[in-house]
Amino acid sequence: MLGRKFKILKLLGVGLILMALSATVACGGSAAPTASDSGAAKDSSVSEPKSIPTSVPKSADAEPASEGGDMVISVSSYLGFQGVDTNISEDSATKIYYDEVFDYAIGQSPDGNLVPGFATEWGVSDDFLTWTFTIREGMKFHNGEDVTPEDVAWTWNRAVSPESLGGFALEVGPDLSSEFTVSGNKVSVSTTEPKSTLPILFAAASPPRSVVWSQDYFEEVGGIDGFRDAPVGSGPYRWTDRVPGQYIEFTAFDDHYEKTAGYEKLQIWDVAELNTRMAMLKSGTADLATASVRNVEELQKANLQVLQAPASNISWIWYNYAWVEGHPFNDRRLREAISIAIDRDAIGKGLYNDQTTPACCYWVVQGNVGYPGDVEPHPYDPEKAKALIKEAGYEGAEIEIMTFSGDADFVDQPGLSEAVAGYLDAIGLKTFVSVVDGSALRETFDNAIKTPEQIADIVANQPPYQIAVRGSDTRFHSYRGAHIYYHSEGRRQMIKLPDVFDPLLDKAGSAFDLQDQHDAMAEFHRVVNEDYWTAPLLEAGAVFGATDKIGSWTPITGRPYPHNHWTIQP
Amino acid sequence: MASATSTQIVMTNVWKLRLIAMFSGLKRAPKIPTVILGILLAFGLFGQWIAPHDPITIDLAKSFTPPAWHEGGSISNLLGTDKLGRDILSRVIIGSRVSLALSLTIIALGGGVGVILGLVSGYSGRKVDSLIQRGVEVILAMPTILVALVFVFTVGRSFESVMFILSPFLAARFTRIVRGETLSIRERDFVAVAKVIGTPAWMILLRHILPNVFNTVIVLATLEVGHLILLEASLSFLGVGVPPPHPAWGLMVAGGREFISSAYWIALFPGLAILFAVLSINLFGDWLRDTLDPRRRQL
Amino acid sequence: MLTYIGLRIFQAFLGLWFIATLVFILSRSIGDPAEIFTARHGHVHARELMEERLGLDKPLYHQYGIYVGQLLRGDLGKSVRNGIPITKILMERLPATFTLGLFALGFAIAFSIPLGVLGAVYRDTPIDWFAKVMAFLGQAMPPFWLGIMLIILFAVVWDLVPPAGKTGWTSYILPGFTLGWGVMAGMVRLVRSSMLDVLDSDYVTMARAKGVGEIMVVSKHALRNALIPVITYSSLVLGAFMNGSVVVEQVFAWPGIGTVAVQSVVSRDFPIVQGVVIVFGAFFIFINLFVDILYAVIDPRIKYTGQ
Repeated sequence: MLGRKFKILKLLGVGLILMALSATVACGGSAAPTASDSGAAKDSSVSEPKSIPTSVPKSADAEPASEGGDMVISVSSYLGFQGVDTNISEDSATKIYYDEVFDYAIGQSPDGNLVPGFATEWGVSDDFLTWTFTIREGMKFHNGEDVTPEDVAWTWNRAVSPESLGGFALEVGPDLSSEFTVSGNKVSVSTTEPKSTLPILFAAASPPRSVVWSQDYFEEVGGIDGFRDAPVGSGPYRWTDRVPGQYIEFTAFDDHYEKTAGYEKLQIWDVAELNTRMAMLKSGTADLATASVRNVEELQKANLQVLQAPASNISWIWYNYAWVEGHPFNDRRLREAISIAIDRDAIGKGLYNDQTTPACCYWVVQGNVGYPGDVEPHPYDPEKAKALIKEAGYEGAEIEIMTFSGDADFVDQPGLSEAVAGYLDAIGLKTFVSVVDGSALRETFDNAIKTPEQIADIVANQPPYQIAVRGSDTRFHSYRGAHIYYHSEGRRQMIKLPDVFDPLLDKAGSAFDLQDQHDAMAEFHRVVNEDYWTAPLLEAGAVFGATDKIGSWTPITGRPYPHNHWTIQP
Repeated sequence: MASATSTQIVMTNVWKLRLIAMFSGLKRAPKIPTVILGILLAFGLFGQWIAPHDPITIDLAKSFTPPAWHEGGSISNLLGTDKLGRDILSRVIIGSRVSLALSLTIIALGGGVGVILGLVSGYSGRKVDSLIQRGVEVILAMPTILVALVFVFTVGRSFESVMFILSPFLAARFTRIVRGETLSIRERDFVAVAKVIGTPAWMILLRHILPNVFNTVIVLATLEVGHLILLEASLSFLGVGVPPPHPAWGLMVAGGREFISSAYWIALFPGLAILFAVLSINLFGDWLRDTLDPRRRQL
Repeated sequence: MLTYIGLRIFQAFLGLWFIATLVFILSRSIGDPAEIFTARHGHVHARELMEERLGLDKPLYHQYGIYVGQLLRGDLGKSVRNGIPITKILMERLPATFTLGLFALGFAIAFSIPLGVLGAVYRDTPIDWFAKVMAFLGQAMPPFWLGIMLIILFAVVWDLVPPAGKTGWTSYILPGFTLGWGVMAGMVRLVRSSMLDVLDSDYVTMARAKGVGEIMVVSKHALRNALIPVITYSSLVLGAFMNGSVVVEQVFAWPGIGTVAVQSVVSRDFPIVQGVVIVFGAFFIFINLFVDILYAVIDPRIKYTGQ
């Protein structure tokens, strides 16, 4: 079972994974981000409205799905499925089924790029202020009604209305200078300033969500309360039933404009406990489930398929108040020492079953817009780290590592934090780990909500100096995540260095050519890496277990949870 | 005055006799549980000298080492290592300190307050009694785990916050039981006598009632220790137990459950430790109750 | 006696009010729920909106007044995360927890009675020990641990029952067992001791003297009397189940109120936490009230002795 047999099993495991991946690739389009030109993003210039052909393949047989029968997927929603109202708040659990039930204006191809959704084209006017989406014709809602541009405009206006607290309102709303208006088969909106990255915000699964609801139906059922109980969308799966706290059930929708579901009935179960999900797989109660990197051998032993979506999670360290003059973290030597004290390879081997790779950059991986491609992860050099600490005079400094518990944006963040603490202790820093909840962490690191006096006060009362071990799933475009935290006018402003980061980010935000955006963001990531403003840690893939019922599946890169269920074919 | 002194003499003698009886009675205690308890005590007191390794030092090169009898295991890590390469045996040994320290502090704190309130409640007039009883009922009506979850989540995870929030629940239980005992004891003759000769209430409580209640309290305390260890485990499962890197048993089991199929030893051995410890404590407490106060079996 | 009942009812409502107030204080100290949802962009606006919606901008006593008023009307408010009325959530999820609790209780009683009787009849023999250990084992394992082990054994290795979820009566077995075993220790002890009391009583001695067979003595006469305390204990036990179901539900993906409660605490959705604690508390208080009244009715003497 272990030792030599362990090694053989491991080889078999790697082989199986490769086979499973290639099977997935062969059957349903590329599953993994193919390493094309290092870093260069796919070209989809949006300076003029242009027709972009769909790259999502239609299912081989045009018959509506019926052969496959039932499919059960077991995931952990962590916070429970909250229901479909995007006006309440962002709900990370909903993204597991949202794009099955609802269509998005802009979709994502398997390698994460933007492709048409129910908007066949989109483009910006010559003055860069007005965006126009051309709405696909012939689409139907689940109740048989047509999807009209009026429905689109209505849904989006509702989402950005003043009463809305959803992500769509908070991120898109403030930049709009007009309502969404309809003209023919086009929906348009104007922004206050040129905003080149608007399409990203309309893309599937990145909050906020640009879906389309049926206005008639919505009003028929009496508003959001009725709609929530029986939502009607236009996606490949129709919401049929729900056992609150246990599962949601969907039935294949045969009139979808391009997506043909592989299974007639789909149940998505909300199971918090990993062992229970594994038990469901092994006993055949579930056909696909979220696993973890340590389950690979176990799944193989049980004759289950192991599917991996590489590079779907990334983790990094933030230094709090690194931008404040005189703060220890303002000293590049301390930041560098902390980062190079960590042996990322050893953590990957020890803690993560050798399924991770050291990350080079903050919140961006190969295939994303902005991935520099020529930047190395920080090295492991504890001797140099010790020397730097001594030189800078921070021996014995107290460091607090703050991290999440539960909402596993990256696998086992608390464990990762403890490993990091071990390395920092080894170079002479006194470290301890605080596992808190997400909002406490955000409050500590967000500077947008603090006045300069508050900041000065907080800094005066340190040590312990705080670093955060954070993680997330990966995104198509790294601009959004960077802007929120690194721009001096960003939403959260984790770091406020207008001279260093603002020009880079502004350049990316004002370029309408995707290649220009990419180049500007790559420069940003180079700067972050070179000056140790962030210490990137690890990239990991998501691991899923599946029974033989799953013939093929086309996951989208960057999503560590089951999704794209309609592509599951027997 | 003479009778008061003789009452006092009788009382002190009774205390002494009690102690003697207890110690000689221990010889007749059930053997296996007592031995296990002895080991536990040794771990608790001398753990840092018995444990082969430091329970907190991380060594990633040794992560997930299996126990010595498997391929790839080694004698130096007899029971294997956990995800960060820490020795399981050492963590189980030191873990006994953490788990027991937690339980005992809560019992001391909560139990102490509970006993006092119980005595007062049982002995005082209707109003005070009613007030305390309502308070007790309110606390007992609240779902312990949920309230603890809320509290620790808000205040922050620490040994102290867990201790602080679990104490009231324990106090409530003690109050209820002690009150019941006090109610029946205060009807007894020697209390009536003490009242008649003018002994102040606090002295009656201390000298007459408390010793008689004492046995029940001891038994309840032993039974609650196991309960608290399990509570700590459940809180760790929910993510609000004692924070790492403290090697508390419940935390180890909760943290190790992810690896049941790939590295069973991480959760199994602390789980066994809990099992044997709690079982022994409960069996011992049960025996204690049977011998000390056969009439109080209804506990 | 009527005054006693009246007094008890009044006390029950008083207790309920205490709980509601305590919950109010606790939940206001959790932290600002508006923070967790609102982004910083448009931060001030969003936060104000949220606070206004939740009534957090009013002074504390005003909030309290609204809160109590709503409670009296049976309105427990709306969830912060998705606007769903709490009563609706409770009605959706409580039945699952309740039925699981009943099943666990049934299981506990079904096993405790034979174990307790055996322990009493064969007192101080190895059989007695076995009964005790069986009962105590239920309190010696963390419930999540037991649940996971049971799932692996019975649902995976032996494939006898469903591993998770509420999917038919077979799905009650594992979670019910996990939940019920924990209270068996107390129950076995109770059955055993009341059996011992009864077996020593005059009534039974008389029956034996009359020549009634031992089995008859035990089952017909002693058992019936021994069961009365079990009923009281059951009411306490239901309360314990509400508590313990939090962990069991999470392991078995059981669609009960326990998982909702945990998720709500973690996401600072305090109206739900409030609602759950109040409902649990009310349930416990009223069961106690019911049992107290029942006893007063059955045996008026009890009221006067123990006070």
